[in-house]
Amino acid sequence: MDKRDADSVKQAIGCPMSRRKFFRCLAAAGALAAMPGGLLRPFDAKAGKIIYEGDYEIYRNACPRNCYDTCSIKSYVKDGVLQFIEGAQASTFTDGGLCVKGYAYTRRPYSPDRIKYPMIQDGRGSGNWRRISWDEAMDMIAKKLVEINDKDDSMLGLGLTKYSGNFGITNYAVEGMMTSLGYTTRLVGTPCWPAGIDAQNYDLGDMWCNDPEDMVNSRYIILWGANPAWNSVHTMKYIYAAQDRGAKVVCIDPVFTQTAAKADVYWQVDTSMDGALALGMAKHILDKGLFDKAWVDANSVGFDEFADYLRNEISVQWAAEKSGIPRQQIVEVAEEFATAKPATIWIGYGLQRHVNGGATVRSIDALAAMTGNVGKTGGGARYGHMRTWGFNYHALLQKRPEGAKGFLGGKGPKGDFDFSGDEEAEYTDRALNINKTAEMLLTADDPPIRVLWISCKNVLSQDFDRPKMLEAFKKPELIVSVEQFFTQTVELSDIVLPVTTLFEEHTINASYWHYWLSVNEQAIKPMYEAKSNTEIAAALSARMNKLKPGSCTFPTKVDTRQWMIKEFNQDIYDLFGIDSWEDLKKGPAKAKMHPASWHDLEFGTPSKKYEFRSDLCAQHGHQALPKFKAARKPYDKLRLLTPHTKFGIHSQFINIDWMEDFNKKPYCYLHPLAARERGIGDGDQVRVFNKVGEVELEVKLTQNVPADVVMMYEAWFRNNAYNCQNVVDDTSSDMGKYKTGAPGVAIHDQFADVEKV
Amino acid sequence: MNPDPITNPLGPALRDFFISSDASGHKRAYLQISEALQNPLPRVNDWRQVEYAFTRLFVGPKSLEAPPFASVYLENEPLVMGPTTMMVRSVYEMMGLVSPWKNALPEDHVSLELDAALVLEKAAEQGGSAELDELRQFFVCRHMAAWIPAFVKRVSRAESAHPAIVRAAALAGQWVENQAVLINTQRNQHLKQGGWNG
Amino acid sequence: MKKQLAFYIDAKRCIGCFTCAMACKNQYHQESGVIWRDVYELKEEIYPHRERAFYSLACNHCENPTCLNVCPVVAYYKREADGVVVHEQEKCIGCGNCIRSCPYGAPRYNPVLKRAEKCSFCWQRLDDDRKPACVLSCPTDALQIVDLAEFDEANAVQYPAGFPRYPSLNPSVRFRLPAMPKMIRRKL
Repeated sequence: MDKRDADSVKQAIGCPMSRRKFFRCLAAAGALAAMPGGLLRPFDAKAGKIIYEGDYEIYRNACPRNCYDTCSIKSYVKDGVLQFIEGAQASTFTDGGLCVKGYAYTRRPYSPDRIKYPMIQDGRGSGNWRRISWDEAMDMIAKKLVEINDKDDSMLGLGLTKYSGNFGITNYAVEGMMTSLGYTTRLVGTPCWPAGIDAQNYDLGDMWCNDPEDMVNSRYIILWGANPAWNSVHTMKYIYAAQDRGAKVVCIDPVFTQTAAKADVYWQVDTSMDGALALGMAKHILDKGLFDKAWVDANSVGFDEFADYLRNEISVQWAAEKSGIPRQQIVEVAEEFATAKPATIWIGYGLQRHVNGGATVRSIDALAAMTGNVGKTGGGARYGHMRTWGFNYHALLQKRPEGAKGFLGGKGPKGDFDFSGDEEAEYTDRALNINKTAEMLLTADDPPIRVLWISCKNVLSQDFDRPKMLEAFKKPELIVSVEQFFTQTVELSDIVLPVTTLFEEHTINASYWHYWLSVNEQAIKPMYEAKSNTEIAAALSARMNKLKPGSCTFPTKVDTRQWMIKEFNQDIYDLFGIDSWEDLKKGPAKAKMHPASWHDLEFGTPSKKYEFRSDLCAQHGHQALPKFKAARKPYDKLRLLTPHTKFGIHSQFINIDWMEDFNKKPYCYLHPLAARERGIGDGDQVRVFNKVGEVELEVKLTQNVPADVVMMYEAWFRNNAYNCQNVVDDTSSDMGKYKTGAPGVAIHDQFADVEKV
Repeated sequence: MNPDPITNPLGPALRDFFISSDASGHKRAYLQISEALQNPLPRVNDWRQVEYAFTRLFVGPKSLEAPPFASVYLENEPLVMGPTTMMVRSVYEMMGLVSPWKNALPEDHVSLELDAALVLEKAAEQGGSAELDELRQFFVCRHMAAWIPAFVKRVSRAESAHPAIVRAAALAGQWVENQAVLINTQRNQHLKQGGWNG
Repeated sequence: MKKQLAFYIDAKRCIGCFTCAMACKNQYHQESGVIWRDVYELKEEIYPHRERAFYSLACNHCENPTCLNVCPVVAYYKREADGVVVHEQEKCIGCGNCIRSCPYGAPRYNPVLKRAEKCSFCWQRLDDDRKPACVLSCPTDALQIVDLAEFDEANAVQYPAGFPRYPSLNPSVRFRLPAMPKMIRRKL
């Protein structure tokens, strides 16, 4: 609005102080009364606050996204509206700042594209949406659930796909809701990091990384297939601090990333040849006797066999040929790494998104272990941890209804964030591979997936083989999406339910990287008719029990603040050194943990030692030793990489209009040589295509990518059909089934060609 | 239903139309508009189609074709809960009123603004004051008159422009225009007569 | 020398994450396209890797600000205490003189209000003992607030390659240049 108008109103009526006078004057004149049958209601000025300039209510929030940094947020609210946010200074990790995505949160609850009410689409994909009430929505869904239970004599026809859209602990209410309905079908596994998790479990007995804040103490840092300058911006300061103290930073990545530009040395490894590179380094360290014999003898099993393998089958020359890194470099860095005390390796997730990903991580773990860098401050093979996630999982842990029937045979599903501690029972949920969701939807039978519940996941933007997914979405009889925005998934759903943003719900947040804990307070009222996942579960349960008493055990009335409080236990209080959760209202707290993982050298493996030779790994169909595993054979001219962009977390944020100021459209990146071969110039419209599908977008020419690679970022732009999953298939990575229920996906083992449009 | 005989039922009916939430609500309000006008409106055969169109224009879940919020037309960025919404909220507070959906629905929704204009009209008819006059002048003649025409145009040019909805929007536009003319005429009269002392 | 606040842009630490740019938007909710702080990519002639080095720039709060000098209605003033150049938007008539004359593009046109506006060094935050929103937000401390009267960084420059040179304005900014790693590329 014209500020002059606002000024003239202010002048005519006076500043807030004299607003009271004006109000009294109008009241005295008897001029005030809401219209009978009208919308506006009388405003009780006495009960309402007079807001002075600079007077804000302050709340504690935390970013619940799938990100290493899980920032602690300080929210400034005025008159019930979020005005601005800051990073919490009380956390040394967040240290007062968020990121380009986090600061866009100030806009997110108020975006006009926000889904406001429950809605139904008459005809999937027709675009004919109608607003319905929550009662109507719950009624439709409940009736359908009762129907499928009658038909199949179980709830296995109800399928859940949920992943990392919101990691606030109370959001496990969604899984809890499923359990409270009976035995259902769960898409399990994780597209993110499963191969590496399994590898670390075979080697060490758990995934447990050092405190990232201890990286200042490292004398040598290898950033291997990780891009913290984009994906963990808060960790960069510790890497810089180590550099300032004289540490050397080596960045290994097929692409010259932003992180690579900040390292001391950049190695442009051939994609998926990282295992060979690690083994070449290990061979040289062995040859020079630079491994930590004392550590290896005391704390590991199988080193002699590993050493034999290296002597017989690995040479530095071979590693150089396979990886593209010159022999001289491999030798130099290997010696530096082995003699720097302590030295650390950050194993990125991109590195294990290959058919040989798990094997690769095992080779890199071996480098850290043989040099005695495991269990040391400033050392370690860093990947992730779950040590600060010991909540009650009150929302998650629900009972099955009486007489529920389920899947026979096989263990229940285990996700990477599985806290259910499910014991083996006669029946279990049916577990299907989340990384092959399209395939699962198409082929699941006895019963098929009749009702699909989608929460904290944007299937049509993120899942692989999008052409197959479009087919798969025709199969379920009812598709329910719980969402904030009109995503590509909502476009093909039947019912969409509006869910709360972080500012509109009570929850708790821990991190899989740093050691801090944040409470997330409800800072503003939910916009329109949005409900939190806990409230949605309660509403569905209420309706289910009206239709068919006993069909759902989820409580029908929930106090979401109480449910947040119920997640805390004495172990958490002890770990974080707080008396009560209310201490977190003053700011985030850090776990009182030793900064070095495995400092006690009590590994979680069968032998209780670091296992160079893991019999369990062999039992599961892999190699006992961390041997080289071949890569996926190319099936097209260029390798296709689809990593993460700094402007978004998967399909979130890029659609926010504020972000469009800085990131207007998608691009693909091509080396000038590859471009010249194809008659492509900088800025041309090109088609990236392969056996799966195609994508059309503008190209940027750069030597940041090697000449045999085409790269584009995963993203969802509103008003733009761009989707990189059109050219990505669902080929599995080697590992992941052991600890996460399903193998991962070889996301970066994709191939394509490019041509000018 | 407004039992008050003083006020023409057209205003309330228009207000109710744009906040109605389903086919039966749209129909009820539309019939009330028709009665108030004593003039036939475009005939509607299928109210479900009106509901789909209404939803695509004003509700979602996709981007709204014709957002019914002043902010969108008065600010450069089509966002809500910004300065315009807050200004309108403070106007309601000055009138001693509050939206029952405060913070859940932006105050500059067309129906809430129509409601406020109706309150101001009724208060003026019952006596009023200089302050009230000032407020009504600003809110109806400067604020509403600034954005409602753009809103009406947007509805008529929208992809989902259903004739019934287009007509209701046009009527709302006319209603605001008539109010503005009335206010200015009364104001001029008062000024000529030596006006308010306030 | 009198106290003169300045932005210190450490392009060696800067990772081009745009956090500062969005922190400013979060604080002031500018209209779409009206950007007070932007993060500029260094061209390949200056830094040979595309999209890998940046200068984060807003207003330079010059010693001799041209915006102030060309404003016909005295809508600008320079604070005695710390040298911050403040724009009083209520006085602005939207003539565009400042927008046309600033070689750094700091004042921007707000098409809704039809007036100019620019980075104000978050002077209200400064007066409340808080850092500017952008400075507080930077995850790598690459964007800092310094007092030129006391700033003593040997490697800092005022006019790095790519930054317009206007000694007559004397912009209150200092930079450290970005570095480059040793590159080991595959033979192809």
